[in-house]
Amino acid sequence: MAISQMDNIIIKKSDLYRLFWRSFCLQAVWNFERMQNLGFLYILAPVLNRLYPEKEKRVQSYRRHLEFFNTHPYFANALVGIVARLEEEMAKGGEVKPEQITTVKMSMGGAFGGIGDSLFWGAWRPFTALVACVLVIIYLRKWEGAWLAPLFFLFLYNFLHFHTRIKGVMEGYEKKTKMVRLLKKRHYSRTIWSSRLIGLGLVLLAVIIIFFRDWRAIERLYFLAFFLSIVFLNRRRISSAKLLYLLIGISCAGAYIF
Amino acid sequence: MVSRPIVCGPLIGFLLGDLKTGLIIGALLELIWINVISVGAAIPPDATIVAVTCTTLIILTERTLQLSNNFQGSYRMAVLALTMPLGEIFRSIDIRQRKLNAHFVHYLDREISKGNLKAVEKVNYLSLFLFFLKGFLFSLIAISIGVYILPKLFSYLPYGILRGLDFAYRVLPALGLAIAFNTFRG
Repeated sequence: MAISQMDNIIIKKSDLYRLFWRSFCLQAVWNFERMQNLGFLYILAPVLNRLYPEKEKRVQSYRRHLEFFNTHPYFANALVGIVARLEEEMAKGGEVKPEQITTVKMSMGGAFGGIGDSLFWGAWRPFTALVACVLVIIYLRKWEGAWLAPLFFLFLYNFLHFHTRIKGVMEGYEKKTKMVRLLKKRHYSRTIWSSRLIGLGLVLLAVIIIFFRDWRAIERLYFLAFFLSIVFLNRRRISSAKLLYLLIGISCAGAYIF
Repeated sequence: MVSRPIVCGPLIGFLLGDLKTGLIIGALLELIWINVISVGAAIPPDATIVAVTCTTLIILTERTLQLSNNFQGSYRMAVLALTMPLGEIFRSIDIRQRKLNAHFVHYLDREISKGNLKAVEKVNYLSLFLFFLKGFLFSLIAISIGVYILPKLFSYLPYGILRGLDFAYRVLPALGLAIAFNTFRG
């Protein structure tokens, strides 16, 4: 193959940025049968188009990516980068086989899904949202700038979110499957652990602030009793809606009795 | 993450000219739904639709009702209690749509085999639009019904219930904070 043709095949940095922009549509056609498969194909389409100029091979590569795929939406980018690199090596005639790409997608999809769920859904989003809620509780009565709290939440949350997406594509492309070792080194467990600890402290702070608001003794007592009873019951299976109706029911009954 | 109640509540409030109410409702709902996560194939009740309809209805109808300070809390609590099931209803619609999305997968299976590769992008944008249309129509219908029904319904409530609702509204942060506490305890 002539050198000029080889240059055509190589994925450029601008392609990786295109993958990054497209990655926001990962769940656009989320379905129960193969989950994020079409989203993944949609993201990868520009790269496949560049790597396989011949129609025949291009159709084949599209068909390979129609299979089941599911992972955490932000960490999917790391896999996008890895798969782009593997496809590139295969298109250049390297030793990579199609089955290998499938295996990588399946196994690493599960691993990234686990990390992402516990980091983003389990710790980071609740933590940043709680920070914003506590800011609203603290500042609503004294200061007019409480509207900054949602913006603060968006900024704090998306800092890690965009970081994960951009680094995912770039490092996945550079380091391929060594990515996993890198993730281990990043101490995500420390982030999870500390955000939980600070979160607990913030909840207690908010409880104290609300408890010393100017309201009647019965309201204070009731507030504390309800908080403690839910904390000690700790039944996470009961949905929030049911607990809300329970609260309303008890309050209405109380209003008739007292 | 604009879809979280803590953001979309104040956003709706800002658009309708009552930022403070939006902030309060948004923060209350965020705390109540803070532990809701979608792991794997599980689809949780939709917090966004509850936050949007609840905030909109409260801001739109509170002006016409002109409530005294004693009953403002009870009205808000009543609206919140009635919009809460919308999250579950919207969830079931969502699940149906995601099941139907499998048709797109089969359609693309055929089209790609035929060599029509542009269909991937078309299907993606179409599906995105359908997701938007679903939320738009649902909240439009829910809000237009609510604006007519809620003030009338509220006028039928007896005094005791009103007092109970007001009381519940005051201690509502206890519920959210307890749920948050349990979430962070792990």
